[in-house]
Amino acid sequence: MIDQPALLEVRNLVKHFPVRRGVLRRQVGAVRAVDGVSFHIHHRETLGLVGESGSGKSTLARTILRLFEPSGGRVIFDGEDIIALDAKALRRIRPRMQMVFQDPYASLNPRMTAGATIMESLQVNRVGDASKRPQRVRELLDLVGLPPKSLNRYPHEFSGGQRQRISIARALAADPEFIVADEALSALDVSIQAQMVNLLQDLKDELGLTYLFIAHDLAMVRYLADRTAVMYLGRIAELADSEELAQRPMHPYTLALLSAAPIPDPVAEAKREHIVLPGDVPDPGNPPSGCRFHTRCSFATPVCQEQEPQLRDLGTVGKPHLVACHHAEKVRQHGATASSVTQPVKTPPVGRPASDHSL
Amino acid sequence: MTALLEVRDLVVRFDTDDGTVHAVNGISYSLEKGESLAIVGESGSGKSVGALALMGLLPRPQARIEGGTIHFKGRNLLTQSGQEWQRTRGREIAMVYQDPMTSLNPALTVGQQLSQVIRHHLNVRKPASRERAADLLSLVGIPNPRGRLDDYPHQFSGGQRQRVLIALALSCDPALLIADEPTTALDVTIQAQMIELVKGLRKQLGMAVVWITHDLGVVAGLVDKVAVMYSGNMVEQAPVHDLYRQPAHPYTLGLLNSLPTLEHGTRRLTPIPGSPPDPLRPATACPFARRCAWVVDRCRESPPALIRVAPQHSAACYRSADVNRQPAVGAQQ
Repeated sequence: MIDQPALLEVRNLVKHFPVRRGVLRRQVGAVRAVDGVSFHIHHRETLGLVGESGSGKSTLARTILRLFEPSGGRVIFDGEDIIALDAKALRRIRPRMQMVFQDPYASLNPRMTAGATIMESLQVNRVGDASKRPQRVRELLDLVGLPPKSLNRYPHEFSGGQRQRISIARALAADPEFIVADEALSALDVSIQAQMVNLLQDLKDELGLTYLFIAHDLAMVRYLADRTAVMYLGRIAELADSEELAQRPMHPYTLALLSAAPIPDPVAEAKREHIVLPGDVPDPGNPPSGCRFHTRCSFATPVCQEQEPQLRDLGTVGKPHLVACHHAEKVRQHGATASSVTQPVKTPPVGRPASDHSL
Repeated sequence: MTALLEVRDLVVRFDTDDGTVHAVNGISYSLEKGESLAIVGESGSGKSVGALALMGLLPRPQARIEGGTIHFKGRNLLTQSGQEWQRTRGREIAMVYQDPMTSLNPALTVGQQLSQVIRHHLNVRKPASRERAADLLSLVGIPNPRGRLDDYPHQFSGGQRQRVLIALALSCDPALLIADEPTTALDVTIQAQMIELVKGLRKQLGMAVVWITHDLGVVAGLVDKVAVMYSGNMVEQAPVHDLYRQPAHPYTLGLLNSLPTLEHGTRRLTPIPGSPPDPLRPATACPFARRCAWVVDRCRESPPALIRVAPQHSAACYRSADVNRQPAVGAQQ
């Protein structure tokens, strides 16, 4: 895996939104939504991206796909620098990178049937022969687990989960290698989320896809992602193998996110340590000095207010574990002693029906 | 002793152009003073409709209460006049809604909205109501409460707005607080703050809480008992520990299995296959039969009633004994 070149490489990506005031619309500042982010994703790998609202994860996703023009940095997709491409070259590469959006209600055209929505994607991306496209639409519906009769139905006739299946089929129509799922499951009921997680996993195995999976729920990301990046106020706070991250968090913010994820077990829930983060994410237009997390951090010392911590590797050979915290060693220690946060939780029950069906 | 709240065989129907929607089909539960109950179910399970009935806020004329009673402090709410409702609603039973962005008035300051409610119900003068409003903001953990009274909702963050909504609900010391998916739109970190806040307030003020959610994970550490709803029916009811340890209905088990835990190892979730039945058609069988792995012929012939399977634990399933017998993952090791 290490020898192979990455499918996607993001280098020092920056996206600032100007803040303008007054009659002359002079720029008085900038919202630093993404502020120097680097990572890579290998072929057929899933990278999870986690953070609260306002952490910049959606802006990062859109800047990678060049739906936003970046303020700086490079995005290299399969050897090509996307940022440098002109409109024509960009159109050529776009089908290879697709996106599934958060809101299954707003991201589908209410006046287009499921079939027309998928057909449009085939046409726009010039996939295959025009004569074979109707057949392909039916195949795609089947691939995402929708019945053939869905073809002529409109979005309002589907449930939230089914709509998200249409969005996935639309993304797959372009025959992409790389899919960005931006909070694609967050609006769905938990029982439906589980179906979608399995669908995404199956599609990945079947079609050899690579995912950037964005969510605010660490538990869900742990199921899907090989590696997970935690983002806070436009920067990566921690990045490691998903299991490693959940078991040995080294950034206080990751620790807090893990502790905030509810455990479906009243006994474990009562026993474990709860780190409740005070307040909200600060204004990204005016981020705190030094470490951006110090205002909400229980480990913070004076050095955190002055010096911005850089990402450093505290992992083992071949298993990098990047963390941007002055006190990462102390946090790791804490995570190990507060076992309740990281230890496997035993429930929920996994029941299979008894073999006899003769009642 | 009479319970604080007693819902018996409540049936709610909606008349729509497509036919009659069987939203709630005879649910029953009770709540003691200071007790907390979670009502869990998917979208369309009727959990919110049941809550709106408690508040007398069902949309008219589409919604009809076809049967049943709701007794609160011994009196039947369903026979109350409009004026009596005005005194109950907000004063004795208060509700926190899902969306903090749309349930506050954007054109009024938070202080105005709070003191309006206080003056309406408690017959106090303006300065006193403002005083009480500041106390409430401080109670729900908003820093500098006096200074924030003159701020408008848009000047508060999402989590703070939800706190303001809770303050509004608490303004008249209600005996019962209904929270309808209050954390669904929020980040996990803010959700954790809300859960701690409601837990603390419940202890401090001794009010009963009904927490409505689709996520069994959220309520594990929060409530005394759980009622699971499916397709307008109550399919299981139990004290919180029993429900998670020994679920007796396949649907409850399915909900638990579809939750991602931070547990090590497993890479695949076990979702419930299919989707809920059409609420336009009255159930002649167990509503869960088509999605159930335990299904037997009997399930397709007549719907099972909610029966006791253990002390304080009931389930509506012919095979609850078999579901119950499945060992928990932890018990196997």
